[in-house]
This record gives sequence, structure tokens and C-alpha cells, in this order.
Amino acid sequence: MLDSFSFFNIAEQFIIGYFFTINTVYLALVVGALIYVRKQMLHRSVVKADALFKTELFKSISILVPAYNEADNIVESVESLLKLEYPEYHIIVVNDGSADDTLQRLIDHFDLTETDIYFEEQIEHQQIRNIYRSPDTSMLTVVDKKNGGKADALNAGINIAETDLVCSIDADSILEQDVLKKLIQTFIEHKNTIAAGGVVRVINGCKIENREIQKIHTPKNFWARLQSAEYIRAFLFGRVGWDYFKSLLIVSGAFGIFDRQAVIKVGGYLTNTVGEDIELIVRLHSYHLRNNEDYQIRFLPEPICWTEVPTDYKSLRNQRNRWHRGLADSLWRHKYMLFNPSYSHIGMFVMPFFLFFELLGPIVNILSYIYLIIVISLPAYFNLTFILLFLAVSIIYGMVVSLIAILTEEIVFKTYDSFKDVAILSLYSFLENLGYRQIHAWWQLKGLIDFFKGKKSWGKMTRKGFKE
Amino acid sequence: MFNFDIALQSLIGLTIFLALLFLFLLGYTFWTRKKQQYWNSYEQKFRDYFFSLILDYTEESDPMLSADDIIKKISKRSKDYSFFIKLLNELDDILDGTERERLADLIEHRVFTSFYQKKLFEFSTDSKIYACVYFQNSGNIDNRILAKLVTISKSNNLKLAFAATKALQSAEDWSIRKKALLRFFKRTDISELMVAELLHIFDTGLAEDREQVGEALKDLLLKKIDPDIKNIIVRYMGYQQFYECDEFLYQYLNRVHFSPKNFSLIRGLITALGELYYTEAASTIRNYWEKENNTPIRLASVKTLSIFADKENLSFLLQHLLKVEFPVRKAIIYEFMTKGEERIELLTKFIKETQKSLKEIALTQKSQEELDPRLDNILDITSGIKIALTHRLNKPYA
Repeated sequence: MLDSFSFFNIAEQFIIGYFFTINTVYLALVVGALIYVRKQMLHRSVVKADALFKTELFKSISILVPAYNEADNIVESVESLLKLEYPEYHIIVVNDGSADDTLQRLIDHFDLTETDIYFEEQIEHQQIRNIYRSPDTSMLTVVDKKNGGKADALNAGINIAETDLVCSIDADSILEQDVLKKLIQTFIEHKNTIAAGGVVRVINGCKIENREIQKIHTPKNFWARLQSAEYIRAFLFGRVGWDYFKSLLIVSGAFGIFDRQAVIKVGGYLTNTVGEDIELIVRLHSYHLRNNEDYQIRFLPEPICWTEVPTDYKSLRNQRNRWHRGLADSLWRHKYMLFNPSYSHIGMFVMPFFLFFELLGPIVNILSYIYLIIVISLPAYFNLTFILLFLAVSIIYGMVVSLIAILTEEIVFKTYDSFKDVAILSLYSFLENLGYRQIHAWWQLKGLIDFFKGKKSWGKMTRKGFKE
Repeated sequence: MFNFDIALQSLIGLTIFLALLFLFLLGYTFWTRKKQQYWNSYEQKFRDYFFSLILDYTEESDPMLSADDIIKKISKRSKDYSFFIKLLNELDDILDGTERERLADLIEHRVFTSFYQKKLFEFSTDSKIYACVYFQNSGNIDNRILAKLVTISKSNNLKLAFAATKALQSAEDWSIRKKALLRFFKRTDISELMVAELLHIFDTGLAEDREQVGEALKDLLLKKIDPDIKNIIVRYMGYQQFYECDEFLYQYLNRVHFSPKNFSLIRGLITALGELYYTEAASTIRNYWEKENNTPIRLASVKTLSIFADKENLSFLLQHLLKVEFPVRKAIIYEFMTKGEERIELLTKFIKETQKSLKEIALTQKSQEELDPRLDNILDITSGIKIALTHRLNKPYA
């Protein structure tokens, strides 16, 4: 049996090793992302699709907008989507049994009339009540269906779409006008691309006119500022970094573009999960690797989608709890891929990383902080060396990684309009390591517990909508 | 266990690094923003000054300054060159005819050619790509540049090879352009969209080049390249109305080996023959339909046979209406419901006859199990017709 001394030794070594490893991996991913993004930005003129659009051989796109109680924003959202630059695209708004007047506002504003579409239900979804189209806005279709959740609404949209690609977005997202032209570059550059995502940024604080971003600023709200810094870091190493190693496991639910047939082939979005976005990507990997089919899931490392983030503690907590349940659910459903060589690097490296560092990370995090408190508060176990090392590899190293992410953003994109915004982001990249990450770990841990309890709800979210 | 000194040193080291990084970030941000502000205002002034000079040169028969004089006014800074080229590219999209030709005097000026030639021979991939983009737009390619572009087009770096292949399409010699295409199409890592992009650049769209382009495309189809790439080539030929190649494409369809590997190519050929209205292909297409139940091939066949439109083809489609999978059924219904009254009558007549024959079958006391699937299909088709008719009356998007 271990004596107390060796137990503490092992625990301390484990904690230090864990934080050192995770921050080093993140650092490698951020640096990889910096190199990759810079290269991508410099070389993008090569894959511009100017000539392609003069042929009939480009890919047509349907934008799927699942809408549940979006009455405040929906008309402006659709109006802004109608202004996108792309030769052939359609917009399919799926009203997912909203309790407010989302549907009526669309009908009134776009002068919609009831119609019908001859389509095959290749993926199951809740019953469609009515389909509407406008004689004046021919590229818009509105589907009114019984409530079934976001994934269910997307499935209905996929069935109705007739295009090569489908692009799923949140009704409250704002897209860059040339988003589709930019995204098609990913499909030009990479053979057999079946899914692609792009950088999502925080819209809170930006100056908006007619659903177009005029000035990009950091939010004024404390929680939103923390998330701005967090999004920059997370999208760099969580998406671009993984994409650099062709190991992308997440395409954000706020914005993702998919080969329609590939999604149908795997059965569409899963409706009984709260992490439908990550689950679909894992399932696409699983299907194509199992069947030995060539495929790529890629990421466009440019800010293309802007989304509103929660600005109050409760909403943020609920969102992160749900995200973690979603991750747990996806990994659990596809546990057969873990350490399975048939699933290549996804099964052997990426999924185990997500399991040990992303899913179970909060447990280690919380236990480490509890241990730290014990070490500090009980004189018999006081160990200054451990405390200093912990501070170094957990907090300071974390700050270094966050700050390098902000620097990368600044070197490559210069998204924010003023020097002041970058200074604020830098300060918040420190702050997020001093309390926010710890609280975040607690929310995630609660999410994990809720997952085991079988909680499936999305949790309440309060959003303020876009102020112009 | 852990060494105290190492722990302390790590903490101090990382904190100092963090502080330096923070200061660097702030300094960098401040400096680059100031620099950006300066260059933005410089570019604006630069554009205001040169825009009028360039327009004057391209539009006036007796301009204030010659091309050489204008170029002399640009300083030798890379930024000035890039601003000037950017301005020329913008004007290139706007101007045409003689004005465009005069603009070419500036785009292809020896100053830029030698500047980008140097870039082409640099080690950096970025420089090579910039140079390729320039030569693609300017078309001012001498033998030395040509040789270098050919070398670059063989690069393992896909983007670089793509850029060089695009640039080679500006070469005057057709065989060089065709060889560049072939070399690129033989790669295994290229996307279908790259193929379409290159084909459109290869095809000048000029009437006098039409025959050359058609011959080159035919030639490419005879080479050993992936059938998925050939599918794009044949569809391109169809959409761009290469009527002079119709017989060739038909013979090609007859000779292509019917195997899953070639399904996309077969589908492409059927589509192309429809676009080219090569009605002699109808019986071959009908044969392919019978050979294998492949939805994409059948969808292409529906479209093509509907374009051919004679009685035999239309009745062939109707005969299969009850048996085919949903997407094909939907395509047939739309082809009948949206292409004139005569077809609507044909479809209605067919439905009535089918209903009549079903009644007869029912009278012969066949089991309900046998009848149900047929009735389901009829119901589905009727609903499709109803929807298609509504759309037709409402002038829908479809």
C-alpha cells in the first residue's frame, strides 16, 4: 500500500505533469495555427474562384437557419443572409415550433404564401406543418414544423434542400458578406471535403447597422469580454490547430458547411443529444474511416461568422454545461473509436486527447485546486516548491498561451479596430486564467455529472439581441 | 521530488517571459496600427494620383504621359509596385477593347516583368505565388519565365503547382498550356473545383480559339487521368456548348467501360450529350439506364432524354415512373410538368391508364399486399404532380 508520502508525491507529479502537458499541447497548436493561418492568408489569392463561378461547375449552397423563438431578430437575420455574395444559394428558415410570432413576422415581412415541396424524407424529423415561399424572394423558403430541437430542424432543412452543400447557422449569427465565397475556397483547396467550419467571433460590443458590422470592438460586459479572449484562443488551437494536423473534431454549431449527401449518408443530425454539432463530425469521421472512403473535414482560418455570447453568469454556466454534456455524449456514443487503429489518428490520438484533456480535464482541474488548498492550508503538508511549480505551469503558462493566441490574432487578422481593444483583450487573457478557467472547470464538471444523470435539456439562455 | 530552485526559476522565468510578451504585443499592436494608418493614407494618395494618369493614358489618343513616364513616377518600393498592380487589376476588370489593350502596356511593362521575374526565382513560396498570380494576369511570359513556371507547376506544394499551372495558361503556345493542364490533372490530390477553374482559364472564350480548345479537351479525355476529372471536362464541354465534339463524346460514351469507377464519367457524358442535343445518343443512354440502378446516372439520363424530347424518350421515362427511386421520379415529374402542356397531358394520360389497370388488377382479386406498393407509388406521383403544378402556376424558384 502507498504511504501518505508517496501518495502526495505521485499526486503532485501528476498534477504538474498534467498542466504542463496540456498547456504545451495548446502552445504547440497555437504556434502551428499561427504558421498555418499566415500561410493560408498569403496564399488565398491562388484559390480564388473567379473563373469557377463563370462555369456551371461550382457547388450550390443552401443556408439552413433553425429558428426557435427568434421573433426579435429573424427578419433582420434573413435580410442580411439575402445580401451574401454567391452565384447560387438558397435560404431555408426552419421555424421549429416557436411559441412567439417568429413565423408570422417572416410571413408579413417577406409576403410569404403557403406552398408545398415534393421531397423525400431521407432523414427523420418532426412533422412539417406548412412550407412558405415568397413570389418576390425566390431564394427563400420557410418551413414551419412541430418543435423537435435544433438538430431536428436542421434535418428537415437538409431533406428539403436540393443543393450540393448545406450550411447550418444559428439564427442569431451574422455572417460576413463574402462568407460563402471564402468557404468554397476550402472545397477548392482540399479534395473530397465533406465538412468545413470557420472562425466564429463575439459580436457583443460591435457597431452594427442593417445587420452589417461597421466597427469591431470588444464587448463592454465582463463575461462577454472574457469570452472574446476565450474564443480567440479556443478557435486558434481548438480548430485551426487541429485542422493543421488534419484532426478536426468540432465544427461549431453557429456555423458549419457540409456536403449534403455525406450528411444524409450518415443519417443527419442526431436529435437526442445536446452536442449535435460535435456528434455529427465524429460520426462523419467514423463512417468514412470505417468504410475506407477518402474525405476531409477542414477549417477556414478566417473570421467569417459573428455570434452573440451570453452576458450573464447563469446563461454562460448553462451554455458551458450543455457543451460539456454534448462532448461527453459524443465520446460515449463513439467510444468504440477510442484507441482503435481502424479509426486512424482520430481514434488513436485525437479522441483520447479529447477524452483525457477536454472531457476529464475539469475533474483533474478541480481536484488539483482542492489539493492546492489543502497544501496551502495544512501546515503539515505545506509544500512551497509544489505551489510555485503549480503557479508556473498552470496559471502563468496558461497566460502565456492565451497571450500568444491574442498576438497571433493581431499578427494575422488585426480584427479589432483600435489599440484599446487589443489592450483590453490582453488583460482579459490574464484574467481568464485567474478565476474564469477555474469556474469554467466547475461548470464543466457539473455538466459531466449532469450527463451521467441523463440530463438532456438545453438550459435557459438569455440573449439581448443586436443593438444597432 | 521537485527541486525548489527549479520551481522558483520556472516561475520567475515564465513571469518575465509573460511580461515581455505582453509588452511586445502592446508595442507590436501600437506600431503596426500606426504603420497601417500611414500606409492606408499613402495608398489613398497614391491611388488618387495614379488613377487619373492611368485613365488618361488608356482613354486618350494623345495622353499627357507615356507608359514609361507613368512607370518612372513610381518609386522602387515593393509597396508602390503592389499598390500600382492592384490599381491596374481593378481597372483591368472595368476596361475593355482598346482601353484594355493600352492598359496592358502598363501591366506588362518591363519594370514589373523583371520585378516579378526576380520574385519567381526566389526561394520563398510566397514570392513565387505572387509572381505566378502576376504572370497569370499579365501573360507576359518569356522562355526563362516559362521554364521556371513549368518547373514550379511540378511542385509537391499543391497551391504553388496550381498557381503555376494557372500562370502557364497565359502562355501563347497551346501545347504548353495543354501540357500544363495534363500535368496538373494527373495529380491525385486535386479537387474537382480546381479542374473546373483551370478549364475556364484554359478556354479563352474566343471564337478563333474554339477549335483548338475543343481538340485539346478531346485529347485530355484520351489521356490516363482520373475518371472524376474527366467527368468535369466532359460536363464543361457540354455546358460550354462544344457542339463540334458531340460525335466524339458519343463515341466515348459507347467505349467507356461500365464500372463503378467510371460512373461519374458516364453521368458527365450523358449530361454533356444532352446539353449538346446529340439525339443519336438516346438509345445508348436508355441502355445505360437498364444496365444498373445508379441514381446519379439515371438523373442525368432523365434530364438528357427530356431535352431530346421525342415520343420514344418521353414514353420511356413514363414507363419507368412507377419503378424508379424518389429522386428520379421527382426529376421525371418536373420534366413533364414544367416543359409544356403536351407533356402534362401525356403524364395525366399515363396516370389515368395506370389507375385503370390497377382497378383491373384489383378485380382479378390480387392480394392487397401486391396492390399496396403500386397504390403508394401512384399516390406519391399524384402528390408530386399536384405540387409541381402549383409551382408551375405560381412561377416558383425551382
